[in-house]
Amino acid sequence: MSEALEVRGLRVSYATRAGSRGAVAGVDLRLERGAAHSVVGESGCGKSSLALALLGLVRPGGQLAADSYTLDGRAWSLERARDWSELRGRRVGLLLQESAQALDPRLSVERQLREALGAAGAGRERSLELLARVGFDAPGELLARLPHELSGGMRQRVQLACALATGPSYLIADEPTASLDALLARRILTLLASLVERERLGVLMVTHDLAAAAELGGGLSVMYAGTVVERGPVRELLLAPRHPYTEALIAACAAREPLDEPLRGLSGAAPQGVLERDGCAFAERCALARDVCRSARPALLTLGPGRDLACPPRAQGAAR
Amino acid sequence: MSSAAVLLSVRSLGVRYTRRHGPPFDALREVSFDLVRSEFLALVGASGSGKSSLARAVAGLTPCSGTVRLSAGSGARAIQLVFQDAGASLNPRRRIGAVLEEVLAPAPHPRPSALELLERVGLGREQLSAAPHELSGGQRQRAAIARALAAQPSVLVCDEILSALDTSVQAQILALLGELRRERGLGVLFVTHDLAVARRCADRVGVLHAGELVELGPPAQVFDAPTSEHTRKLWSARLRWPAPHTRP
Repeated sequence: MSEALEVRGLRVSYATRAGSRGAVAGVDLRLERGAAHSVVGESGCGKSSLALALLGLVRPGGQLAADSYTLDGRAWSLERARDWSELRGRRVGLLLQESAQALDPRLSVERQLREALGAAGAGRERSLELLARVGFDAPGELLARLPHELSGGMRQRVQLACALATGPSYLIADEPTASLDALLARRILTLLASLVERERLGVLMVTHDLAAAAELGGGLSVMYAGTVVERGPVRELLLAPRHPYTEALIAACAAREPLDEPLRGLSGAAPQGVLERDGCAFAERCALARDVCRSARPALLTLGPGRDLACPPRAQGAAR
Repeated sequence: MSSAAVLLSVRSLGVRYTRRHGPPFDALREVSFDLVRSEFLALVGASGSGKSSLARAVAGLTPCSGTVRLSAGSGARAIQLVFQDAGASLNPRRRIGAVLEEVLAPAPHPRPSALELLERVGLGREQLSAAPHELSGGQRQRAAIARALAAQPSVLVCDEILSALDTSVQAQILALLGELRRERGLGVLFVTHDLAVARRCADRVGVLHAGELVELGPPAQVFDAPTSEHTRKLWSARLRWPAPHTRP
């Protein structure tokens, strides 16, 4: 039995006044247990829609479809609410951006954990164990505290403890470090990496921060206008990108080394959602664009083990 | 740098918050520095180090001790503040054009038009009649900068203005600030938790720890050869870019 979360041809669209608008346009994704994978891209590229769709969640007015969704070898129905309620939390956990809304402000840490654990699993011992797992050295002192009495980094770890309470094999983390400073962000990322390593958790992280993806390690998918344009081991992608869009994202990233090189911004704005026209969505901002790029949507081609690219000019000669 | 170029002089700045229980809390203690013409001064530090208190105190939004002195001849609106949440400096119920007109009205002639200001920050006629919520995050932050420019400031205080933006948009906003500094000698006091941005873009970096300015100097010196243990810790905890393979 393959221990992986695997989705094929995932599509998400939203009803708008102007008709249906695509957010994710047929994405394949495979997340193995004990592996980390990050999805990066700009606002509107569909990365959060993709992550939430893996839990059957869509924003109001949204529609979700896929050719297949399998978890640890079993096919799941996207239509059956019962399937989703069995999957959510128990098999696939969710960690959101740290915010005032992520935890119930009226409940103590102990109560938050008790609710997350459910009636059957609740108990002081289990709560302490969970808090220890997310790196609290003195969890006993924490139980009576309310969310506003904790720092942002501590709240984020409590949220993670709640997500892990029902023992999921996979975790979807949507911008888990977005509102944290570097020290705290690194702490969360190190923690996630150690859960991947030690407990064989499969972690899918959505982030706009390439440096956060680098810190987590594992694989990386770069999204643009609802599609994956490049995929591979995060190190390889950051050190030797092939898609012009990946290159542009890296050039604009302040954390890129060497630190003395100037930043290069990417002109123009990222499309919001899927573009309803033929060809590569990035073509209009791309210096390499040729006729072939404008006539047909580039397929994501495999260049080598775990290395995929959707760029005809760059794939030529590289693919075997 | 000659003293004539000093735009802003901060001496012994302190911010104290009183608490209902327990002794008062010093968010900022004895902070002194100058900001010179066209300078990009980044202020970094961990959460709770006093960065935002400093930004708000300099902008006159929070009571403080010590002095914040502007160069001679600057008007009452010479310091303008831009927030992380651009919505906070833009009235949600008013169109961008109206927001700018309101700030422009008391300015002496000749003064720019609202459209000229929007064009200066990379926006255009379409945004004049837009409400803040109709803009993207990057556009809103540009509009907030245009609003600040309408007051013809000599100093722009930016409090985490990049935090909510995509990396590519961050680079665009940083480029815009660079142009404004060169063009009109605008001094920028840039509060950020992003050490890489400070290392890359700033002329000087100030490091805050527990309300005190523990280090101040050029970024290469501050980060590559820190004299403070706090700076060293902060820098070594940043998110790292992968190093190229070193083959054995």
